[in-house]
Amino acid sequence: MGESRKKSIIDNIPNMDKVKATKYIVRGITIALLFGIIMLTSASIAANADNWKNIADQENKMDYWDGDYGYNEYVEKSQDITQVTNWMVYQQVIIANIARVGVYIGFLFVFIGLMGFATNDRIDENTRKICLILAGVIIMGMLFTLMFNTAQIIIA
Amino acid sequence: MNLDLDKKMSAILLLIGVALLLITPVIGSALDKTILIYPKTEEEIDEDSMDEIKEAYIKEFKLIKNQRLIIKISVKYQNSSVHLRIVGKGNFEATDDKDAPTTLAAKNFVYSEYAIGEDPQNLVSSDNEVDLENDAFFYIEFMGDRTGTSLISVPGDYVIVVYGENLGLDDDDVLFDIEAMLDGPYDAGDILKIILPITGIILIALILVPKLNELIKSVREI
Repeated sequence: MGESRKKSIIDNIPNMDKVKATKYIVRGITIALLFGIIMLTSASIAANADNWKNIADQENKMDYWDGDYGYNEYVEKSQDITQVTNWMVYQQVIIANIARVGVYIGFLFVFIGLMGFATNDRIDENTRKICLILAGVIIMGMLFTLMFNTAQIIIA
Repeated sequence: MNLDLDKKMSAILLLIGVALLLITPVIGSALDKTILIYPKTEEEIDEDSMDEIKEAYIKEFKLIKNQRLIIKISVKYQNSSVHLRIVGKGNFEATDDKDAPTTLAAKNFVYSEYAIGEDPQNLVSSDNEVDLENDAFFYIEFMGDRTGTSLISVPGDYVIVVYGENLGLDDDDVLFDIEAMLDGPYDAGDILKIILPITGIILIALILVPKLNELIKSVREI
C-alpha cells in the first residue's frame, strides 16, 4: 500500500531539467521527420502514379509491336499496370495515415520538451515564454490538423 | 524478437527488403516464360495435304485449365500457301485421314499481325483458320475457345493441323516455319510476384519493429 505510483511523463513535466527537455525535443523532431519523410514519399508515389502508368503502357505497346507477346497477354499486362497504378495511389491511404500518427507522436514529444523548458524556473523568463508560445503553436497545429483535414498554412 | 544486428547489417537488410519490393514487377515479368513444345523449324509438307489429312503437318498438344498455346507461324518461301487449323483430338480421330482438312471442325483462336505505332486493338483478329503466303507472320493465341478477341479456357487434347499448296507450276513442296509454346497457368514469375514482396515486408518489419521498440523504450527512459 505504501508503494508510490510510477510517475507518468505528465507528472514529470514540471520537474524536467534542461537535458531531459532537450532530449524530448530532439527525439520528437527525429520521429516527426522520419514519419514526415515516409508521408511525403508515399504522397509522391501516389502523385506520380499516372506518369508511371504512361511509361508502363508505352513499354507494353512497344513489346507487343515487337511481337514479344500476343494480344491477350498485352491486355493482361495492361490490366496489371492498371492494378499497380491503383495500388500506387491507394497506398497513400494506408501509409500516410500510419505516418500521420507517427508525426503526431513526434510533435507530442516536442510539445512535452517545450513544456519542460516552459515550466523550468531555472531558465530566464523570456526563454520560458517563447517555449510556452511554441508549445501552444504546436498543440494548436496538431489539434487543427486532427480535426480539420484541410487545415493548412499558406505562406505566399 | 531481438536479432542483435549491428547498424551496418540492419541497413543492408533494410535496403534488401525495399529492393525486393521495388524489383518484384521487373523480376516477375522477366521470368514470365513459356514452355517451348515445338521449336522453330523449316517444315515441309506436300500440296496433297489440301485433299488428305494424312499429308498435313500434325502436332498434338494438351491444355490444362488456364493454359494457353502460342503459335508463331510464318511463310517466307516462294509459292507456299499455308493454312492452319486447331481441332479437338476427338474430332480429329473421328475423321478419316483421307478426308480433306477443311472437313475438320476447327476451334476458334485469336491472332495478331504486328504494325508499329498502331493501336493494338486494330492489330488483333479472331478466326478458326489462318491463311498465310508471301512473308506473312501470325502470332496465334489459343485456349480452347474465345469470345470476341478474349480467350476462354477449355482444357483438353487438341491437334494443330497445317496444310497448304504450292502456287508454282512444277513444285509440290509447301514450306513454312512454325514454333509452338505453352504458357501458364503458373510459372516462376507468378510465384516470385507473391514470394518476393512478402519476403521484403518481413525483412523490413524484422528490422524496423525492434528499432521502433528501442526508440519507444529510450523515450520512456528519458
